[in-house]
Amino acid sequence: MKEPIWITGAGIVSAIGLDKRETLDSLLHGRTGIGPMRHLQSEHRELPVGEVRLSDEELRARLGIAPGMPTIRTALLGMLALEEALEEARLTADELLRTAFVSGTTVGGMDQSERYYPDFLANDTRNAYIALHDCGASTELIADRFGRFGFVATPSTACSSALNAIILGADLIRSGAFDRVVAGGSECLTKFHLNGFNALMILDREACRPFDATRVGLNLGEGAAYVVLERASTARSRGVVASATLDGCGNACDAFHQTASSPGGEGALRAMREALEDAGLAPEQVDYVNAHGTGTPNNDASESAALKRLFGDRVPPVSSTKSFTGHTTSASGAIETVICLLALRHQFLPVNLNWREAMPEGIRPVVESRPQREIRHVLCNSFGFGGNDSSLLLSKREEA
Amino acid sequence: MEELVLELKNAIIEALNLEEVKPEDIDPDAPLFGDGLGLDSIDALELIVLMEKRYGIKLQDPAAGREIFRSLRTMADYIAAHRTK
Amino acid sequence: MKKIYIRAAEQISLQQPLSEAWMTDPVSVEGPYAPAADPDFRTWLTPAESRRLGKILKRALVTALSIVRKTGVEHPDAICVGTGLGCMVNTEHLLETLCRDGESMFSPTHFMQSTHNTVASLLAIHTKSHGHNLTCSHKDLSFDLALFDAWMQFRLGRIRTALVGGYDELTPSYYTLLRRIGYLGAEGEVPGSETTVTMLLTDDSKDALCELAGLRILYRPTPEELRQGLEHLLGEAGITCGELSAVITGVNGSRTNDAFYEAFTSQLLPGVPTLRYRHLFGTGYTASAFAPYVAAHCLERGFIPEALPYGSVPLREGAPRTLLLVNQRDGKQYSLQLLRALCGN
Repeated sequence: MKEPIWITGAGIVSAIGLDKRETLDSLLHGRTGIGPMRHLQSEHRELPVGEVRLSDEELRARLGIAPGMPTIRTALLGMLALEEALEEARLTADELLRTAFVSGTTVGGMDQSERYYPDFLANDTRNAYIALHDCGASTELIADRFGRFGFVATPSTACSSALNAIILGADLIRSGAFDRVVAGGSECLTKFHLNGFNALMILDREACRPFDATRVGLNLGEGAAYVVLERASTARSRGVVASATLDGCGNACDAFHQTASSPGGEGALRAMREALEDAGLAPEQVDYVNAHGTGTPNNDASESAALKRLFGDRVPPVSSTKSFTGHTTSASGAIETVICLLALRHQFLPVNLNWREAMPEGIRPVVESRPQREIRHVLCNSFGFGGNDSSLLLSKREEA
Repeated sequence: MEELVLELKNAIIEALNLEEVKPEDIDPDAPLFGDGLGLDSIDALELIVLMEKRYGIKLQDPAAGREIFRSLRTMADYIAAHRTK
Repeated sequence: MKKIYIRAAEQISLQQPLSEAWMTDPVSVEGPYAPAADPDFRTWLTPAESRRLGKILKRALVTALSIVRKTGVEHPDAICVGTGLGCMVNTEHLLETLCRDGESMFSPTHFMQSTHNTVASLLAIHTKSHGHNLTCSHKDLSFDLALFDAWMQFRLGRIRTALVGGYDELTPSYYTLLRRIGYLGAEGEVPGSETTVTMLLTDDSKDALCELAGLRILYRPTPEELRQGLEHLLGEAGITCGELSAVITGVNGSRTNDAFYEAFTSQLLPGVPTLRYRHLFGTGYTASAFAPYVAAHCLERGFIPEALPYGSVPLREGAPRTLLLVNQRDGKQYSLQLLRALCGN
């Protein structure tokens, strides 16, 4: 029997709140964070986004970072989320030395690179931001604020980066490398991403409608989230408790196309199946699935196919909370993991906003938050370009 | 029109990096996707960018591309009728 | 515990591509920046296969195809990739477009390929590998973390084969940027260059180049933690410092960075011969991938090429048996690997 991995802390920042309490409140009241652009300086004002409500300046002020100090939004969001996670887990600076930090991202410091790129090439005035451009730089900036972690890593698998960070974290514990890992991811909105997704013509000019027959695309969002994973015995010896456990991980590859998902959702199916097998659970034991559900025609059709292949005609309650947060890309896997933790702890089903019309062959997502039965086991899906499909199985911790 | 067809042939070869294709290899009435030139959905998106860049035509709905890009000729017709530059 | 082996390793770099000619006949490269020497891609890929692929993708794919051809392992169980900056050419193209033409002219192909996991995805598509697939992008540890990820998958009993690679491309303009921040371009430094290294790991010693006997990654270690890390690594493999044939470091002529290697070798491994490789393969975020590539071929052929030794400790007699690899940047991130020759070699 594998030793359980306890989740002893969690932090979350997104368009629907700056912490778990605000996030829970928004989820329970069906309050979306998607709306007109306020902070991102893009020409595409017509595109709705899920922005974290604080500007860079407000984030700096809240974190006590001096105005002149070079920083990037991905790191600011990450710091806020990590602070909450470490606080809940009651981790001291001393304990960080024996803790690994795994943080997924794709944009890294792109928000400043796209602002200062002409300077980068022409002169020495923005060198500090050249040094913050790469993915690893944002991870270290976030980590180093809190002390000295014993290990850092930055998985970058597009939109599944943060979920794969959590899987890498679980592997570090199971392989015996670490007893404790803080894992998740952070990603801010950038013109780079907005225009990239726009060029792929998968952005909706209205609020996204995951799994709806009329869906045309996604809304981009931003945010960060982290969970503290801990070997049960280590957590017990520190005297901390956990309300949930990470029981199963699945990392698979669709191996189909550089951006599109296969019609049958092969990678998605493999990831979910692997997570279930890893947890030693049968499909009928799953009480809720937090879908990747971006709202693009391709993803939702492919994911529906995979869900039907796995669950047959007894698909459990499914929803995409991207209808609240927008698609927070590389952070989404961690943000949705924390949303699953909230669902387990407070026994509610996060609903799928804006769903009206069933798509042909599609699943019918949850629109009523009251669960029909106790929520004990949930699956959390996160898929990325390149077919990097991953899934987690999270469980309510049974008092033993 | 024939001039526009030839211009388009060259533009497509360049934009889609079709190294091995010569302008005379492209039958203006053959399908661009599937059996004909063998283009795919990403190429369709590149063609949409190409139309905006060269001819000032903005397509909002990717599905509209299906008709326009049926062949080189249909694409040229559409451009001739809608170009703003 | 099952052992893990490096079965094949290929490179495209400043040296002759897809070849170990560097062992006897190294190409010497001068100048601060030099791009890699490419093989003829047309002998590997049809125009249709390669038309949308940037150089970094073609290089990664060709090295992987070469390994598949040599080993017959067509569908690796896992694909683990490290890259510092991903497909930089695509990213740079988009940044230039954004600054020059504004927001409406993004190329979908460039965007699609600008994400860091494009290489691992392409390798999966070509090898039809649906298994574990991960890309790490963390500065100078990018490749080392990919190798570590593969190592864990073996240890957890999930896989029997893994394709592991380190890939970066470097444009002249990005070279300028990395020079501005002092990452590259110190006086006397080896060329800043591009990296393509692909290797196949297996749990079977048959036809292997060497054993991957251990690895360890440390972040901001104190000198004492570094010493303990090394001790544990050697202890777990059952060997002592004195038994090391040599230590392979990433010295590259940058005085500040080399000082950390100097401290490591002189304080923790006195009397162990030192080897280098970056003067042959260049330097960059994933250049550390050349270290196990070089070590594996030295252990398999049973000799240390003349171009590798530096420092004052003379090489020991006989074929190398065990090589320690150390990679670090500015004393902040450290990676240690231990490679061992196969028995009877």
